[in-house]
Amino acid sequence: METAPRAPVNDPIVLGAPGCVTPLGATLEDTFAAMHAGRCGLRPEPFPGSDAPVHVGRCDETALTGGGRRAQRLLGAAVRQTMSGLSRSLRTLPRTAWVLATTKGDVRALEEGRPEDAELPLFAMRTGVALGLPGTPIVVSNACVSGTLAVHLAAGLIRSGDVDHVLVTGFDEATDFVLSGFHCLHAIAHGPCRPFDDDRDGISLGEAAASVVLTRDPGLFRHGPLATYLGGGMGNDANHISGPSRTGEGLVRAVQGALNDAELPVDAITHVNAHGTGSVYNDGMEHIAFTRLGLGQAPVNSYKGYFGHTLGAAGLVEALVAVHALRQGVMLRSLGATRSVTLPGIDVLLEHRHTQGRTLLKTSSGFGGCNAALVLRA
Amino acid sequence: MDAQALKQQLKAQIIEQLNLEEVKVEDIGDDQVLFGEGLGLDSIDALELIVLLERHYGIKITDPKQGQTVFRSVNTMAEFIQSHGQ
Amino acid sequence: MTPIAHSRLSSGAFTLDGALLAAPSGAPDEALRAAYQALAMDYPKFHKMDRAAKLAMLVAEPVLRVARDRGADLAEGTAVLALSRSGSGSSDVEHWRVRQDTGLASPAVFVYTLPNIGVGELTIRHGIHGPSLCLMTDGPDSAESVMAARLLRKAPRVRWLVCLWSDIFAAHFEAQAVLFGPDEGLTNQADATTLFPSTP
Repeated sequence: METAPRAPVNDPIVLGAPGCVTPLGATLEDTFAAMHAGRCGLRPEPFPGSDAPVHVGRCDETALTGGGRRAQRLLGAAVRQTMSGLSRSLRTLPRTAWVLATTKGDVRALEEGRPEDAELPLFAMRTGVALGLPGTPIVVSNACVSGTLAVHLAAGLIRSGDVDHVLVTGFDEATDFVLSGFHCLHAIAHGPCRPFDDDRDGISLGEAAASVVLTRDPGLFRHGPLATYLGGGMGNDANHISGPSRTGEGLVRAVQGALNDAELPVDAITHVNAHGTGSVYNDGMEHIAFTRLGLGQAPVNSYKGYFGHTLGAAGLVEALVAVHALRQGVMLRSLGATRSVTLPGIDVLLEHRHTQGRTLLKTSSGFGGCNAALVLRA
Repeated sequence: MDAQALKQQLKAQIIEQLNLEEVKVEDIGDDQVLFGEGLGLDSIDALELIVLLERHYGIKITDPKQGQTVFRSVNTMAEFIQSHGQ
Repeated sequence: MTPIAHSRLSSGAFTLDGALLAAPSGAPDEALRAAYQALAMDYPKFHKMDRAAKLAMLVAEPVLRVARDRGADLAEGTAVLALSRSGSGSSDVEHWRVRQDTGLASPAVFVYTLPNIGVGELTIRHGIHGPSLCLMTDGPDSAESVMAARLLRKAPRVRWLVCLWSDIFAAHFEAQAVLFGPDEGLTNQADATTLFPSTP
């Protein structure tokens, strides 16, 4: 087995070789370009059980590559981009872990009458084989914070010395299973979702896959690292399984944890890419939390107006887009938000804005009352 | 169906639909407040009651806010069903 | 690995450190109700949960009582690691059955179609604000669950760690919970692969 010198244990943990498939593009660059051009990937479609069409963000089928289940082709398309961005083969890289974030995995198998095939550990094992990856992934299924938490977990595994490199992946599909659920909760927006807008009225669902490698060895990346991991945190509301906390308690704790971990004061944060689902209560909860934290100076956006809520993939794909945008010197407008006077004290991005700042706070909040936050430097 | 029979039926349906394990039909007063302090129902229960109305009575509530007045008590639910039902 | 407390719940036996708390038998619903009654939990919300959340709540209760007796600060200083194979599988099947049969979906069923909801219910009952992590694993013990446990235990302010394995699908259910304290139990041995003692 080839042996490369291991990076010193105090070197920073970096993220690189991003892979990404979203309703707006088959790569991270394409997705960002479409967002920068102001395009929305949400399209109306008829929905059985609803009189009105619902807006959904679906990935172009041609972007899905390889064989196997649709879920595996979606995830595989992102992972293959990561593989081609590495200077060494992921298949033979020693001391490497793989983390997979997803809420519902291949729930289509259940829809097709084979619930046993939808079981996540089995699906994960088969997907490893299908993608030619060694071993089985650590499967994080922690509702809508899964993607964010997966990055935090990966960094922890490297810090603790358990492994040297971690492939972090996340995906979820927009299925009838999930759509019908959010529909019965009366949670779906009447048009495309409008996070942080005064007239926001619900979420839009989307689908995506994303992939990235965390390591202390920047030489692993053909095109250099995308970002540096500075810290992460998590916290629970301990309040309600599906209703956001009225005090933002869990999110405040997650962000404080991430800032402490990064050893940074709150005013070091130059940009917040929030969860911003577009639901009245979620965005209101985030407003309360960010205000409590004194984050008013950092411009805030949500990407869900571009490609919807991609569930277990959301935290990962949004973090990758956000650091990519900062590297281009821009903070993207929070698409769908045109007026945000009912959320005073935070700076919602109603237009794209140039920036020299490089320090991103990424937050996610999910059912069960879980919250997670990352601090990344682009 | 007369009003009293409808209310009795509603109470049984509420208990079944909301899995109110420790509650019996006779425990629910016609005018008892169902949410908050009353029977202690929450937001998911309110959405479940919307499904109950659609499934058993063919009545659609599209705005969950409307539910706040409709689901105040068994009395208000029965009145709503009788004024909207067949 | 020597946890401070270890509970197990499966058909016929609900134990804490080997001592029988109850002998819940019959179909899962019946057995879970018997276990609930044996604990005298007095928590009406329990009955509205799905089976997976009930199972996680029940198996965690005895070890969290031990933690509380030992003066653990559940709100601030406790982390939860939840492991499961089937996760929300039972509620997933039920949600899809309702959707197919009626064209509608049930809000009270759908909100339980995520594997971490049982942990959410647990954090609500016990007021746990600390970190939690839900992993889907093939069994209770694996190298990655030990790594994840060590990470949670090392998180800032965390002094107590509860690890759960709970799995329910169709008629089969099994669950275990272990409690690790500020100075106790969790090995630093790099190649450790077991969180849950094989006995009692």
